[in-house]
Amino acid sequence: MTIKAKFFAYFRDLFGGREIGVAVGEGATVGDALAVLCDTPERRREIFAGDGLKPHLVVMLNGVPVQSLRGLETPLSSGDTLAIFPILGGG
Amino acid sequence: MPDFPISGFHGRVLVADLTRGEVRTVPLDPDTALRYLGGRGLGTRLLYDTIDPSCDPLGPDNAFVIASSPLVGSSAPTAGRGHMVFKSPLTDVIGTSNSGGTWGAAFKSAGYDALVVKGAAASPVMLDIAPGRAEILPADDIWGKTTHETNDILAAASEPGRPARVLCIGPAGENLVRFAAVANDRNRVYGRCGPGAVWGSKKLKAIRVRGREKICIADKEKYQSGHDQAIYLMKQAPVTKRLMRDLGTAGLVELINLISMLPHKNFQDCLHRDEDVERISGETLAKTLLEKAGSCYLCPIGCQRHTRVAGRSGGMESGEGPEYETMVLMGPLCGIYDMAAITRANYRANELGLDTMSYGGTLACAMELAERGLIAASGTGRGPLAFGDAEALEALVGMTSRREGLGASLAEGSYRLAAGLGRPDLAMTVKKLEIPAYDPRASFTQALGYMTSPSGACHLRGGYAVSLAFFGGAREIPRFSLIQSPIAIRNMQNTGILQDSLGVCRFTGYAFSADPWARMVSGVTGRDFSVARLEEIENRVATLERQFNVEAGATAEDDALPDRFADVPVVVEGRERRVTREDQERMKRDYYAVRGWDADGRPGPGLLRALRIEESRR
Amino acid sequence: MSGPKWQASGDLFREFQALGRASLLYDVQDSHSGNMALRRTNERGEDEIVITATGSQKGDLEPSQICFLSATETDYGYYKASSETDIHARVLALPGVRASMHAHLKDLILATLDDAPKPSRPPDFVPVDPLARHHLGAAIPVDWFAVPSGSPELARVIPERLAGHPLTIIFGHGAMAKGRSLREAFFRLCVGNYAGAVVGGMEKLRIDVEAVRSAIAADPAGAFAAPPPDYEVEGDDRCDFRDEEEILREFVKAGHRIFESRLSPFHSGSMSVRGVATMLYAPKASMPRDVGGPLLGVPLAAAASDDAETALHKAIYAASDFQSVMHCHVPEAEASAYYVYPGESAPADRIIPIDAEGSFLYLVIPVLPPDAPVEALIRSLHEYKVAVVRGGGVWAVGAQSLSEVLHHPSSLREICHYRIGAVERGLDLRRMEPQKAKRW
Repeated sequence: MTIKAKFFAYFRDLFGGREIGVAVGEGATVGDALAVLCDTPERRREIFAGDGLKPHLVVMLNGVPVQSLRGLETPLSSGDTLAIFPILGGG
Repeated sequence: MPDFPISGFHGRVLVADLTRGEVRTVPLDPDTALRYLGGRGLGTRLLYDTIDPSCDPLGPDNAFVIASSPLVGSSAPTAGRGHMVFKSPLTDVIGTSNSGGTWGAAFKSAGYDALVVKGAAASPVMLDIAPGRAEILPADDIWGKTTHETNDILAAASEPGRPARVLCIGPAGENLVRFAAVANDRNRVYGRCGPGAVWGSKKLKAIRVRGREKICIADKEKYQSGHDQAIYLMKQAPVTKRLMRDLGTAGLVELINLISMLPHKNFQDCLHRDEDVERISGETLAKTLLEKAGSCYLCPIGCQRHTRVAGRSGGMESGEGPEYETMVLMGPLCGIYDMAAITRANYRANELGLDTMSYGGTLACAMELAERGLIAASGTGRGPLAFGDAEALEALVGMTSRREGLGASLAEGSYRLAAGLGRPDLAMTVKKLEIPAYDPRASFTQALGYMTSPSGACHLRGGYAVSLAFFGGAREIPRFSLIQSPIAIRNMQNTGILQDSLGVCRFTGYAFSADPWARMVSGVTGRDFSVARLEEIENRVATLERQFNVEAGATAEDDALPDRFADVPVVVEGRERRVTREDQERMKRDYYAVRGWDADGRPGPGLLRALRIEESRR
Repeated sequence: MSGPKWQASGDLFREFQALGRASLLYDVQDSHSGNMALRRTNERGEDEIVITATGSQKGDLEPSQICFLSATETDYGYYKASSETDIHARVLALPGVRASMHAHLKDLILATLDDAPKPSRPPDFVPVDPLARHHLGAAIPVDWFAVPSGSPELARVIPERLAGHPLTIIFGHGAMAKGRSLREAFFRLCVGNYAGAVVGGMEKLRIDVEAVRSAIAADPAGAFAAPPPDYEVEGDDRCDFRDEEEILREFVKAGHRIFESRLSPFHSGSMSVRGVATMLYAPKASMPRDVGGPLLGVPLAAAASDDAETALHKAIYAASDFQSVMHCHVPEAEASAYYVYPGESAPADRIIPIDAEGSFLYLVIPVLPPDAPVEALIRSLHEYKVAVVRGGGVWAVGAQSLSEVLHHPSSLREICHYRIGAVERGLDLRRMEPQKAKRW
């Protein structure tokens, strides 16, 4: 099945685009999709810290932060949107 | 400075009486300094001691106070901000506004802790302040000039090692536009609550400061330990380390849209097309208009946007911005996604001395009123006003500053505009201050912040609750918890009071909280300013602001959101959300209880005594 | 006609599976060891024992690996019931006992190893921490067995020991606990292992453990802060704030994290979030997945019926603006609180991080004596956000959310881990500590 990965800030340069379609198997999780996207050491370094996500990262599935779901174990459905960006703030 | 018993303070307050044309120096009371610190704390106390809160904000009995803080003059990161307190001509309650740049640090180096300006001059004047010398000078030849022109003319008096910094109003303030701003260092702004109109009513055009007065640091080791920790943490935190410099505050646009909080068309909904949001995103700004980032005084973050944009009829214009609030309130709130137009309008607003937030909010309100047939013509010569009209956005900045045509109505702010047409419910304000660019239906905590902010709907004074789930991993904060919101927002408001009273920037809060400040303030002053003691000061200031507002005539009824937010839901994470009147009431009452106020939101005499808030000395 | 001999379903299975998985995560199981059993009256009114099968992976139980046995005879079915079935059956015959559990408590076993010639009766294990002291007693029996698994000798001695103690240790092998429920048995095992980990940490820090034990024996009340609440068997399903979805999620996630990161043993510790007049309170902060614990809504005002733990949460809120409070028993911190610098005679009043991140986030972490008054703890929490009470665990506070507070015991565990490791490697802590920390 295919899901959509959206990137923001300097991740657009790092991952080569605003929006990328990702092909994953049925029953794939957020972690699986990220593993597919992080196919270079540099990309892995920005996203993962050991087996988990880097703490200062925002990953949202259909607008909900994955920490509020099941983290990397959160299951995906066809057509889902994964948003990935470094932390921001403002006024 | 050696005479004043507390390091970090000069021990001097400058008081200017523009009616009499006199400036004098009065001593700062050490006890007041210890109990209110500086900035917003000290400024609120001095204002409360100077004016009657029920006075006419545009009359000679109003005053404004600008206060510095004991950290300004040290190397503490971002410690150079100034804070201004006054009665607001837009809201009729306390006006409290803050700005970065370098003026605040220069004011402190001129040898004063605070400036009080009261009365009104008969003809335009400026204040010129240097160590041991403060004068009221005529300003007829700069009256009518833009903030940039005024700044450049007056800053020409700079000497090597003693730069002259300028704080001034533009035509908007001169014309008493209710949300006129005061600008420093060209493009930094005391934006909200209309301080520019207060200056205009006093015929005060500018305040120039320069000096080289230093402060002493009483306990260098203690100060340094706090300072080193602060710097380290700012280098670690991703927001302050890289994101702000890359994208500026406009980097928030995409994120806020993703969490369904991005306002649209006078807060009718939060629905945008992805491709439209991209046009006003921080990423697009960085790619197309950004020339370079910039920093305020002693700031390693670098979120300023120095930008260039093509003029509407050719040529290039340059300036600063847009920031997030401007981009959204002068953008999608008005149905506009044209970043070039927003940027040009931002430049004009800065030059004319106009608050971009209230301008956008007022314009959006006018657009809705026009689409309902309540406003006939825009006065721009192009037919009736409607959402999406980017040309009107640009044209009406000048017209509002000059009170021309429709601009005369806009100059009154959205509440008076809408109420005058019989539809106050279409003004998206709290206490007549236009709501910032975070839809309160998407966060009940933020909703409560808007309701209870002392200055009216404000994310800086009301507490910045915007889903910190995203800002630093561990700090997940619930968005829709009724039980937690009152405490959470009280704590966020208190953090803001501390930062405003120390002259430091909100963005330091992404890297650390009170502990390093406690050590730095203790180190500079040589007194024990523990975190607990700082909390006491925060609570004191919050209750004094409330007391001022009560005396100004504000009631619990004013702590409410417009009907739209109670009646019309937005969809967040697949669920409909609105802030019902019952929930507003419940959170509000709980908030009053947490603050120690009575059921009507009034501080009682027992609380004032317990917080050691003395009666006014006016 | 008897019922299924080996298929478990529904709540019963989920309970075994969840506790089995929890025991694996807490590292008190290796792949195929350990067993747990409970005694119940089944749907047909018969008295039966439900027990894990021999050779099953307790960390990953399947329904077919739970055996149902009559309480009066063993029955082997398709999977042979645990080789320790006899022991369990006899333990489950003790009055008031409904559950028994056996695990390889590595830290406790390590702490009770000695090289004295055997056979001989090893000395009792004397805990030096407040949890084991309260829940397991002043001394835990240790027995050496020639055949320490599935032997008649074991089957005779273990039930005798458990008749008089909640937990008993099999030298060089493991421990066994009884309980009114599987959870209580598991709780006792985890506390036992925690007790061993504390002693282990102290030994690595070259603290004179025997001297500490003597001091405790001389003045037991003075050695520890207020005793923890007794273990409640009922009420784990209670949830008083289901309408507060986000806060509920925070509590659940924090509970998982506290357990999985070993910030506090199973069902120990406590955490809370305050409202205006209410306190949302989890009296068992360490909650593994699918096990959970009580989530209560109680009045914020102090009440005479409050136990010492609850009362301290409320006292902290009464004297501050904090929004959340957490109490954890971090074994590394408990051990570190007794550390005495070479050349000194009393334990240090602070823990100074030697690792890079620790030393910038926390210049120092105060260590308070067990009898420190509440005001002193609150003052420390105001200044430092986290404090260790010797003989009383780790207290931490936050201004905004539970997940913010969680950061503190978690960091503290790492900070103490590095200090302990450094001393173990023979390094000079004083030389590694930042200068400025010593004067703060």
